[in-house]
Amino acid sequence: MELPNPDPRPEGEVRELERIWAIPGGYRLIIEVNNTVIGLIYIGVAFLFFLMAGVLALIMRAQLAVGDNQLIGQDLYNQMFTVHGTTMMFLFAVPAMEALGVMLLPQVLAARDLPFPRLSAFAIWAYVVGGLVFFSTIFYDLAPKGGWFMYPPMTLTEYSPGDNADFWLLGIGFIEISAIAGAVEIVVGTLRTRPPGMSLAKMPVFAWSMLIFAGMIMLAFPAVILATMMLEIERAFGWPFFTAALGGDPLLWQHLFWFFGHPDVYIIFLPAAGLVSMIVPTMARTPLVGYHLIVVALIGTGFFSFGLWVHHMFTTGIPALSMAFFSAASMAVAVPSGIQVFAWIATIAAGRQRFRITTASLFILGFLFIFILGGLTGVMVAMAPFDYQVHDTYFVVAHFHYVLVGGFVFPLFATFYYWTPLFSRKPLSERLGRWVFWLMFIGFNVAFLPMHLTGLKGMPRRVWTYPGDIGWDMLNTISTVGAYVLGAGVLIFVVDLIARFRAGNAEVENPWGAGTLEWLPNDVYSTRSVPHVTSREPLWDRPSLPQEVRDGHHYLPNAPTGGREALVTSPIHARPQYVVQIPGPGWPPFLAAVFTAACFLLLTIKLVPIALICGGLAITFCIAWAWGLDPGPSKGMVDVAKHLRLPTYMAGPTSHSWWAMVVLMLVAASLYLAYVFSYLFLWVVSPEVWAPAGSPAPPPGRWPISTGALLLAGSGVVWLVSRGLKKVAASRVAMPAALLLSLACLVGALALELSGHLVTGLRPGDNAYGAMVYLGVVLFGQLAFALVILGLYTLARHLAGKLDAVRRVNFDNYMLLYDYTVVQSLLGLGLVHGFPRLIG
Amino acid sequence: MKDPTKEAPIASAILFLLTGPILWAGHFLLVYGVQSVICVVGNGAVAPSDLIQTSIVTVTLGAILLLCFALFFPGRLAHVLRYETADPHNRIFSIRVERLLSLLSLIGVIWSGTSVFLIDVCGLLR
Repeated sequence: MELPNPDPRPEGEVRELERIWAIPGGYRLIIEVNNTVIGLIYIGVAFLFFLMAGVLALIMRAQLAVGDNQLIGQDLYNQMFTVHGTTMMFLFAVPAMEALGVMLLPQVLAARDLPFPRLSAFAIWAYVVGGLVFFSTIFYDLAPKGGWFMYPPMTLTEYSPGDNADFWLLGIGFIEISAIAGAVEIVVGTLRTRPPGMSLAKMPVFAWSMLIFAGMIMLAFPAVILATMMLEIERAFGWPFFTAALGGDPLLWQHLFWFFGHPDVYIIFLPAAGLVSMIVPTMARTPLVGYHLIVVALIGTGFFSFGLWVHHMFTTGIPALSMAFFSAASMAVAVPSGIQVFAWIATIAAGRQRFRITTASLFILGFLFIFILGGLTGVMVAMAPFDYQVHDTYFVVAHFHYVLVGGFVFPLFATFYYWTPLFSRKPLSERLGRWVFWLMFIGFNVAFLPMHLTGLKGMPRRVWTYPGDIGWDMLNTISTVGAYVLGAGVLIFVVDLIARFRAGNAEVENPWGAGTLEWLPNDVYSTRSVPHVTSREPLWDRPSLPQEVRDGHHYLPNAPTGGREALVTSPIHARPQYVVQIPGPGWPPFLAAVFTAACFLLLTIKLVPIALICGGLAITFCIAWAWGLDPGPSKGMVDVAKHLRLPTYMAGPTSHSWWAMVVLMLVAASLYLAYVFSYLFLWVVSPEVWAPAGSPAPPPGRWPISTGALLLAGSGVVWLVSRGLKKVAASRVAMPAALLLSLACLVGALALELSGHLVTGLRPGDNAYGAMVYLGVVLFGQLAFALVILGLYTLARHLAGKLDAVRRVNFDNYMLLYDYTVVQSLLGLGLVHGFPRLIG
Repeated sequence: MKDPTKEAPIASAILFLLTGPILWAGHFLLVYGVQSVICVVGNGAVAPSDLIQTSIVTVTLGAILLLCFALFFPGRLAHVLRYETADPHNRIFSIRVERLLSLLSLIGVIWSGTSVFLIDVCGLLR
């Protein structure tokens, strides 16, 4: 292979890279956006949440150690299991995986950084602030008590007065938005910042798993965001989405929650499987067996996981045939999961040399044992008759801990031991690591294996105590002992981590002899040059690659724009397309995250004026952050290889900005489809009260027709501007006039839609039908609000001379979101105005 | 596509690779939706059982046919979806993934579809 830059590189390039990518010192570290820094903060905070939720678990196990125990009261116990579950799922598992994505993906792809580092920083700080405030509620008797799934009607104001439930709804809802921000970064990063030559067929399995993980977040999380919105609106304003007496249905919450909640298990598991697929070949010293099969299994599992959610609801009285569909899918998902397990075992067996037993390997073997057991009980509970027997018992507690701890925590610990040398000057102790593994492995099985029996003996979940004379004592005592042994293992790990982890470059490069790119020589700027990839294990197939990369013989060995930058490649074949200029450290993302968190949390305690001020400040800082993101084509073309010059600016469908907006629109579409499902679901379950007798008829046809016409007119204006942007942008009058006209059409359409329903006399608090109609207006209003800000921002860019026919990224984003809003709103008009007429 | 420097749109690649799972999801949505809606709307008055059975069998057979097409004629499918790549390594990878996912989806569709013959279509287990 001819090297992209075969000639010796000039002196000083590395020093220039170090200067450009230097990490700010002291307190200014919090404004850094580089993946290695914020990724470490992210994973560190996620692990802190794991420890804190683990302590809650130990307290709960102490309470349950013997019957009739009075160590902690019922109310506190309820708060504890709610915060434990919520923290583990929302504040530890998903964020930890996103953290690994942010931290490891650029290394695995040998990219300088992901394309939106400030978005990552925003997501991380929002999560840190929001998560810590949420967790602290346990100390003030303000924690929610409704379980991590917060089922209504128990969580409606009538049965859960006070602010406790609101902390969950607003706090977690907001953290989900942070997760989506991370997913946007991961999708665009995986598809567009791969090194040249790394086609889809050569992409590391970890990158595949992160891509599917992020895609699943985009589809699953909007459902629970909508659900939390609806429940909070019902609690705050009395719109009866979940009140059966007014046409709502508590089961609607369960559908929306589990449409998120079940895929969430795989959202957690699939990246862990990706990590395992990276570690196993290294330890077996042979390429992964069945690469194609593993990619198929990851995609298949991701898809099938969306057809399983009702298996959490088998006992709610849904029709038998519906259960059969979900039962079949629940069992079918075991097939792709099994494919992966067999591929890993085959890889271990295929190695010509013996499988190396390190601490990371032990955790992988422990994962296989525990996860397979969890998978087997998963097939058992996928069968409706068996599920009827064990539903809401400790059998289920045992099952999902086997799946989640086996399928996620053990691979995560393997990850810690395997990849620490990449980020720390010293590796973790292998000797202590054995202690950590065996204590965790034995402790886990002693804690959770007996729970299968406890459950079969009839002990229900979520009870704070139980009678001491019905035969549950011994099993619970054993479980408690096991939990503390498990805790001891984690404690030793923490001690080792504190003693040995020191951020910085490792003393030994590639200590495991791995074949993937993250083990290339690294610094704050990632690799000196971006390698040309010709196989799946480039370090094995080309032993000279590390030296070539270090000497700058591959792509982008310098910083031709004088700032932070990354190479953007095509999504399928990874052909170089352009060099993206990446923003460096700055206060705006951090402050935007803090004020966004403050806005949501202050709303929870009903300090509305201060919350609105914080919201305004958050938007202001977002605008300040965005202002520098569209640098324009001033840097021209630059050399990235001897015979390759690339542009430093890109607009239109090739640009990463366009891609991010499309991903965001997919998220918005997913949320809206969840709304459409909710609307139709309430009709399906209660057609006799949809709409209730005496409800006003929908507005006359002229109202929705006028609304639709305004939307189409606005879209037409935006389209005309797009077609003639060169001329329009040159005019100081035409561009502002066109933008303002399009916004006027949009706001007018929103006002018409709202007015139409108001004049009929329908009110959102009357019944679930009214609530759903007005929720449609709220969702339209959300997009309109975003568009007004984006439109005015685009206008400001134009007035500042930062928008023209070439430098048009801001306008393109406005156009994309506008068109999406029109499509969604027209669909909404058809649903809200057309469907009631259709059913008579 | 013959020009090796150009590549197919990513949407084509996604549709091609995910043909099987997309068909599985469509089948799942249809059989679940049809059954739920007809059981409610029919309410015993229009023999919903027969209607549901016929609908589900039809939808399932349709899905099986499409999946078989995806399974046995990946080249034609790629042409229809405008996903053609000159790189042989990538082509082999894409076709293998597409076929295996179609096979997996076929199992899922048959598994779901056959339940209509085993269970009372609108019955409740309570």
